[in-house]
Amino acid sequence: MGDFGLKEALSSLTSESVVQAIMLVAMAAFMIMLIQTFLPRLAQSLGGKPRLYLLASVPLLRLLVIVTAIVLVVPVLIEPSFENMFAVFGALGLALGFAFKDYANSLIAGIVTLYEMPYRPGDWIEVNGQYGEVRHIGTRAAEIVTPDDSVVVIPHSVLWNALISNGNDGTDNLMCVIELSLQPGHDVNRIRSLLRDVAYTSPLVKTWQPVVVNVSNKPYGLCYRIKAYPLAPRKQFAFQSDLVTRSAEALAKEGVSFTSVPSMAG
Amino acid sequence: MTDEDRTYQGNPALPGGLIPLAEWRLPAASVQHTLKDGLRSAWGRLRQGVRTDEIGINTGAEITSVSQLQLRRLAPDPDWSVRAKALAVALDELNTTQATNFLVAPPFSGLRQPLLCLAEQRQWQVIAPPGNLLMGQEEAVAWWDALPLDRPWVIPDLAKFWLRHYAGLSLVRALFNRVISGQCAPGVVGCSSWCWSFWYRYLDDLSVSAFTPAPMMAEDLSLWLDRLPDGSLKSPLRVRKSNNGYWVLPIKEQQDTNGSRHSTYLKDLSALARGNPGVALAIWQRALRVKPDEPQPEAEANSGESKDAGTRDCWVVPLDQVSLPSLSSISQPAIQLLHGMLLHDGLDSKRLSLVTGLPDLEVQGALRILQRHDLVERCEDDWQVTPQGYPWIRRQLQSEGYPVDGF
Repeated sequence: MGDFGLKEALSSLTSESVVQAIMLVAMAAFMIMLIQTFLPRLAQSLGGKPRLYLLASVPLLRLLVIVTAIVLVVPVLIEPSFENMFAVFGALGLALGFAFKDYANSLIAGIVTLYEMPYRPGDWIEVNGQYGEVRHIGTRAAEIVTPDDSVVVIPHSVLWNALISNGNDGTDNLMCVIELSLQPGHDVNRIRSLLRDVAYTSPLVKTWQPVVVNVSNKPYGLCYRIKAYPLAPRKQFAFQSDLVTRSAEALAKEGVSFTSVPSMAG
Repeated sequence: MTDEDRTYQGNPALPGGLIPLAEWRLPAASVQHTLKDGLRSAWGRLRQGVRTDEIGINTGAEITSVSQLQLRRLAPDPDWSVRAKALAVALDELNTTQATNFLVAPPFSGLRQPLLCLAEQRQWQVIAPPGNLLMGQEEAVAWWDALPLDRPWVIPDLAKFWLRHYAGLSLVRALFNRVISGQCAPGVVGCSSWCWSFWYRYLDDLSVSAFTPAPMMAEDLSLWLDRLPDGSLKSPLRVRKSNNGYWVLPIKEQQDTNGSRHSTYLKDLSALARGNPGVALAIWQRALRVKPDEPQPEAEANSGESKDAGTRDCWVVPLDQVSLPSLSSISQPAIQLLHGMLLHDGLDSKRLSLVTGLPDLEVQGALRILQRHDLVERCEDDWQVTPQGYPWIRRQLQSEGYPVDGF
């Protein structure tokens, strides 16, 4: 049993079965390529929940194809007896354990990711200070695209020990928070009401979700936090810009100024 | 509310009368009917074999679109004064303790014009919006104070009293304060469903009840279309489907047309138009066809002597073949403009720029594209969505995540 019985397990291997297995693997690869190419394209043309659901289905479908391929390929290559399976998976386990420990770690975390779904394609997440939209979940790593259009590859293994912040968690509801620091000496209720109107009249706001304005006193002035939901997570930056622009315009008309560095220093 | 559990009541111009908003139900083509129709159609085709030409017209070349003159005879625009009379009766019958009644209806369903007619009939004061809608709260209160609201009044379209801008909300907010605190004489406020959905969410503790015209189901539509424009009986309208010859009008419940098969066309039309008569009529007008060899006494339309004529025969193409306006892809500015137009029941380009935050140049460009595709039209200074484009626009706004109305 020096070779864990691998030699016996592979004794039934013929050139015909190898060709069959290669064809199965090629078909699986082709299907995965189709899934990964066309479903995201289709999702981009949709909006709202259908887009998120479609994006989230990509890794699941790919896993399904991979599992199906393994189930079909293994009996083609070896006789599916208990001893043979034990030998093949034992050898595989040893190889993975020694040579690809980190890779295996990420692979397993990837499977856990698909089950626990801490993030899905279309989610806006922050991991280790990197914020972006999950565009692709691979077997080993996830790719996010930051607002500055950089792709950040995050190995699934960070799942074990990193804090993952998910802004929309599989839905199309992503709350945006705008902080405005204003100089004191104004009617706080009037400004709260005005800022709520500013948020509520934004053409990019979800009016059926709550729009809240909180205020707190800071050493440098009064800090207003406008909390509202944009129409779609992708519109969060346009929404934030719109809120800041129109808040500044409305506040200027009311004669209320933002705190600035000199006033903070003073 | 479905066709089955509802008995026909009231004036064809306002079937079902006014109902509370919560009771409004979307008309739907039932699965049972669709399946039955499919099976019947399949069986019919099997039986007919190659004899389909005996019943229906299969080629588009054999029937033609109707002219404007024929349209005035077959599917004229409604006479709103008739709906105003029905609305007056429905308002009198409303069992409500509110002094001010809010009537909410989707665009094109006929609320503004009947309310104007009603105000004229009953000598009620019509309140028009001020030229400048951007004002502070004190200014808004002063504006309402200056109006003689101690006698009955009507606001035909509340959507014209505000702008989706932080400085454009004061007038409507002041009106709601006044109505809720009972500071005015009895009044009627007409409000577009899009405008209502915004204000209902904005004032989340809004304690006024609102009513809406009941949705037009297939039976209501058949009577309404048959008796257009003024609801009076005239030569019967007989309509068949162009692809299979099935009867569309009269519908099965009204008259047995010698055992001939009937189509669920009006049920599907009602569902497509979401029970909205204006949208249904716009689609119906586009679907109408006539046979060139059929005598169409066009002179009747001008002379108005159609009451004693025999019948008005025509055809309709299947709903999936009616060409309704749409765009394969729509830009963000264009969709923002469409949403702005619906919220305010039409706006001029300057105000569209204000409520969407888009530069004037971008507004003009997007409006031209939308106009070219028949999705918007210019009505005096205001830009409005077209009734035939409304179903596509609503679906598009919903799929893009925009807040839509409840109708």
